[in-house]
Formats: sequence, C-alpha cells, structure tokens
Amino acid sequence: MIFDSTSRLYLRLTFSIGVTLLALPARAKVDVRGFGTGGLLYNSESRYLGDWDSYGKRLGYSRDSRLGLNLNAPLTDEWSAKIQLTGLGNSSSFMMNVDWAFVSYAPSDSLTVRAGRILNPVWMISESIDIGLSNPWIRPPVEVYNLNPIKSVNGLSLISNWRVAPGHLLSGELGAGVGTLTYYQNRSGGQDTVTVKIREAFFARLNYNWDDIVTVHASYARTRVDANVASYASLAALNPLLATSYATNILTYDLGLGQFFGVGAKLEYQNFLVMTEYAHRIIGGTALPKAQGAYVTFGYEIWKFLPHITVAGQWGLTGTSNFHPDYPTVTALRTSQWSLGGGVKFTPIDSVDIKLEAQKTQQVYTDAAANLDFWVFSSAVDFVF
Amino acid sequence: MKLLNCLFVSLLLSPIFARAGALAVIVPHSFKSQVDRNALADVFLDRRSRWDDGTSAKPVDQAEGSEPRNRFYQILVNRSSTQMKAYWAQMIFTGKGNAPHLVEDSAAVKKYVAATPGSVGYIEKEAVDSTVRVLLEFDE
Repeated sequence: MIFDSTSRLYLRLTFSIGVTLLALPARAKVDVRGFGTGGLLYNSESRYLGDWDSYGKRLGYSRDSRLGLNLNAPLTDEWSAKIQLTGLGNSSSFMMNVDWAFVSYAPSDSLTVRAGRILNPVWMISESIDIGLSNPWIRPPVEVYNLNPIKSVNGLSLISNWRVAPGHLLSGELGAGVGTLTYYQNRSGGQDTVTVKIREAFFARLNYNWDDIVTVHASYARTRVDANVASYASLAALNPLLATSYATNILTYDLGLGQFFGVGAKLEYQNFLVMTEYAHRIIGGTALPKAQGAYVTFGYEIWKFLPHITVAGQWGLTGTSNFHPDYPTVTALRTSQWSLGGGVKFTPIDSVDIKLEAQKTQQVYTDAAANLDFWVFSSAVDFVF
Repeated sequence: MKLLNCLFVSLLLSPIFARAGALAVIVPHSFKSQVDRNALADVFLDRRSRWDDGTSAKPVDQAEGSEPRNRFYQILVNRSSTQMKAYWAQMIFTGKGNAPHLVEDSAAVKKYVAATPGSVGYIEKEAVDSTVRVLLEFDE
C-alpha cells in the first residue's frame, strides 16, 4: 500500500502517540474517558444539506449517532499526550477514526503548543461539535456548521491565554497544517470517491470570556486544496453495447483558495441561554459554492429541562460544487436555506441528556420548481463516561 | 403508623430544610502563595496550573454527586453539577483541559492534600484537623 507524504506523517504521528500512551501505564496514569450519542431521525425529504443526504425520507439510525474514546496521559507538568477516536454513523458503516491526536507542551499558563492532528476551531463550537452533552441541540445548525468541511489538520498550533482582569479571559490560537478529506460525488453511471488533499491550512481564533457568562468568538481560516479524481473515458466509444465508463487515470485539480470568517457569541446568565453566530465562506475555485450562514438560539432552563428555539439561515450561495470539470453541470443550484426549529434537552442525571427536536426547513433553488419545504424530527440520547 | 408517616415526611423534606455546613478550602502546611477566589476558580477549572510561587497546582475533587462537591462549585463559580459536567465534557473531549484528581470523600481529600505539595481541596469545615491548613472558608 502506498501512502502519500501527508498520510505517512499522520500514520507516524498516530503510531507514536499510540505507542507512547500504551507504554505509559507503567510510569504514568492514562485517563480513559468516552462520550456518545444515539440518534434517531425522521426527515420528510431526502435532501437536507450536502453530506447529510444519508438521512433520507425515513426513520432511522443517522449521522447524529457517534461514539468517542479519549485517552489522556500527562507526561510531566508541562507535557501531555492525548488522542481521541470518534466513530460517526452514516448509512453504511460506523468506522472509528482518529478525531485528533497531539502532544501538548505548556511551559506556562499563558502558552500551550500542540503538535499532531489538531482541531480547526473555525466556528464557535467546531471543536466540540460531536460532544452532545455540551450542546443544547442534537445537531448544531447545519446552515453554519456545514460551511467548513475541514475539521482537523496535521500540524502545529499555539494557544495563548491572558487574564486581562479578574473574570476576564482572552484566548488566542494560531495554527497551520496539512491533511486529507474524502468526498463522494455523483456522476453519470455511479459515484466517485474524491480525495481532497489539504495542501495548506491556516487558522486564527480569538475568544473572550467574561466570568463564564459571556463568550465571544472570532476566527479566520484559509485553505488551499487539491482534488484527486479519476478521469473518465467512455467505453461506448469502443463498444456501443457497453454504455458505461471507466477510470483512465487520476488527475489532480487545484480547487483554489478557501477563506472562512466567523464571529459568534454565547450568553449564559442564570437560567437564560443565548447563542448566535455568523459565518462566511469565500471560495476561489469550483469545489464548493460561496456562502454565508447564521443562527440564533434562545433557551431557558427549567429544573432539568432546557427548552430552546433556533432560527438559522444559509444564503448567498453562488458558484458550483464540482470537483471535476467532467461531472454533470448543476442545473438547480440551491441559493438559500432557512430553518426554524424547537426542542428540549432533558438531563435526568449529570452524565446523560435526552433530546427531542422538530425543525421546519425551506430550501430555495435557482429553479423555483425545485424549491423544498420539509420537516426534520430528531431524538437523541447523549452520554459521557 | 402516624409515627411512620411523620418519619417518611421528615425524610422527604430534610434535604430542603437542612442547613448545609460551611466548607473549608484546604492546602498543605507547606503552601505559601496568596490565593483569592478568582485564582481558586481558575485552578479548579484548569485555566491555571501554577501558584504564584511557581509550584504546580494540584486540585482535588470529591466524588461526583457528593454534597460538598455540588455546593463548592455552586459557590465558587455559580454552576450546577449538570453545568460542570457539560463544562468538563467540552474541556476534556476537545483536549483543552483535565479534570481535577478525583477522590471519594473528605477524609481522602485531607489525606491527599496533606501529602501532596501544591494541592488544594475542599471539605466540610468540621472535618478540618491539624494535618492540613485552611486557605479559605465558604460559609454561604
């Protein structure tokens, strides 16, 4: 099996951290924890958003389901090694992948350096998007959180914290790295697996926290990616009876520069919860359309219940979503999506949440006949251990 | 039967009317730093890992769901046990922080603090003895 340089780096890193963690019990404590969500969903339409298509028009096991395993080994007061494996559900499998894995060095309280597979903190809760227990929703608003497909990269990040005054904490992070993503794209005669190589990724984040009542998040990320896709030749040209095509070779396409801007805020005061975020994606190439998204969530905690409502939108979608010039032209491009949802989070015990949600979504296309209105009903149980 | 009913009602209502005792924040006798509530909160929320004198801060928690633990976080950072669980879920599963060392009860906290330089814990005030030093008292 041949790996490219990024994969080799990633494998070496994972192997090194794994060996380090396995070798540690003799001299240091390895903390093992986990989290999970079991989700059940009914969607009245087969289309929801991009990679969430697997929901389908049915009640079933969904991508809201996940399981995570976290191993943390403090090596010294300054050094630690951490790894997290996460399995996400989809229509066909439940594969465990390395979510993140890094070695962390904190020479002081104001500086932490991480090296390894690190999370991209581009949106307010990007890093904890899979941790159901820490979020009010079953599914953080896809209108914002689907705008950036790069969850983590293999690289380095610097995190700095400043206690600017009692109760006021400022935190900044700069990171850079490389990586790969896998996509599936439909073409006439089948579906292709497209490997997107993240040639360069850079991100910067700034957070302000006031006494854990107010949190403000601002971020910028930029990426350059290449898609490795198969070039197709029609067998029909050779034999008219074979109306199919075959891959001739793998071509690499520069998908251009992607830039992501985000600003968000969270207010937790007494029983009130307010969360809001705005996100903007600017794409120079053809892989994904340009887009903007935003949401606002209001919640009020009553005993062990947190009822909440969310209004979300994604708009300004312009451009194509093709990885390959030979793929079919998109005839009805979605220009916007609007959602109004409500739900309740019930916490019977501290380690478990039970959530119920209903959401009405409208998708607007350039071809008005393709417009869609549909309902999404979701339920989930979150837990940590 | 009346007596049994009275006993049952008393047991049901006792948590509501019980006057919780004061909590003492304890450190080893060797502890030298000055610490206020903000600094203490930072240590217990893993936002600060060293005391003013450079010693490594080693906070210790009591068992989840225990009365001293729930009251300690409610007083210190105004968070319920559910909110603290969500906080640690976010910190741990994003690789940002580690929860304090965990022991069973006040006796175990005292034993750990007495033997561990830089450690800090909380126990009921009446459980304090000469093996540890009281840093702060929460009588709310």
